[in-house]
Formats: sequence, structure tokens, C-alpha cells
Amino acid sequence: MRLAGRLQILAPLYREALLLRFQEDMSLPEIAQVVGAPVTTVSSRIYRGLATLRSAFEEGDSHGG
Amino acid sequence: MEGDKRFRELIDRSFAEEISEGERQLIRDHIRDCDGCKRYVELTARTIRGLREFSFVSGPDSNAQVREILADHTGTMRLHNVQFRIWAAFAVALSMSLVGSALVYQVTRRLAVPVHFDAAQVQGGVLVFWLLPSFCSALCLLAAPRENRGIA
Repeated sequence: MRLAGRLQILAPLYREALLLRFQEDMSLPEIAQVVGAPVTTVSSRIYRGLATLRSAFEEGDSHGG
Repeated sequence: MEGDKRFRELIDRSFAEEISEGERQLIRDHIRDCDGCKRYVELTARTIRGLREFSFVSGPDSNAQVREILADHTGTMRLHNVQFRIWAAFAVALSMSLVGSALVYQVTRRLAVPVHFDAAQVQGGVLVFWLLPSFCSALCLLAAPRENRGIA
């Protein structure tokens, strides 16, 4: 599965947090300000989103992708 | 396993936010002996690299699709806009017709006194010579082809 496909399986809130953090290089407090959520919520979204993407990568690896 | 879980949380934190040099050293020491956590670091790094390199540039096919959708949407919006303007013009014309008729009736009633017309005759006259023509003119706005309405 390509990354675009992997991103599609993420909940929009997780996708938003991940892209703001790793594409826009925003800090957690900056993201929190943009999305109007506490920093702890943002970091939780990032970690959960990462976990989902990572397991998709892992699954792809185990299927030879 | 519980130790691995704590290390993996620390690894996640090291990618997402600032951690101290001491914590970085802890991770480095741990993954030297733990293959599971080493693989975890590699997978996380790969995931984040993928996110950083991810591009939103769309292909020509999707550009054409977007243009088609926009054109369709614009056409629909334009049609709704024209229809709204027609009904608004009709509403204005109808109100002016009713208000104008009331005014004309008041004026005609006063003018009719010297020529001895009674109220029914005045009402009939206003109805036939003012209210009906102006009402028909308002209706013409709805019936005329769009290009002849002068508002499309």
C-alpha cells in the first residue's frame, strides 16, 4: 500500500496532526493552537496516527511490500 | 516487555517532540541490545520519512476531474442565482403592483367624486386598467425566455 493509501485509513484528526507535524514542521504547541485542541490531545493524535501508519508499513513488509 | 513499552513511548516522543540528550542516549543504549525496539525505530523513521516526502501534487487526470466538477458546480450555482433573481424581481414587481394599485385607487376615488362614479365603478376601473395589467407584467417576468428578462 502506498503512503497515500495508508493516510486514507487514518482518521482525519490524526492525519491532520501528522501532516502538520511532519510536513509543515510545526511544533506541538503550534499545532494545538491551529487545531484548537490541548497539546496533550495533539500529541496523543500524533502517536496514535504514527502507530496506525507504522503497523500498515509493518503489514506491508510482512506481505513482501 | 513493560520496559520495551516505555522505551517505545520514548522513541515516539523522540520523533514527535524534543527530548533530552540523556533520554536519547538511553534509547541508543537500549536499541543496541534490543532488536524489537531497533526495528521499531527503523519503522518509525521510515513512516516519518514517508510523511515528510509525501506530496499533494495531483495528476493531470484528477486536475481535469476537479475542473469538470467545478464547471458543473458553477453552472448549477449560476442557474440557482438566475432563478433567485427572477423570483426576487417577480416579488418586487408584484409588491409594486399591489402598492401602486392601492395608491391609484385612493387617487381615483377622489377624482371620481365630481363625475359621480360610485366605489364599485372605481374599484372595477382600477382592477381592469391598473391592477390586472401590472400583475400581468409581473407574470411576464416569469414567463419570458431568460435572455429577454434583462436580469440573467
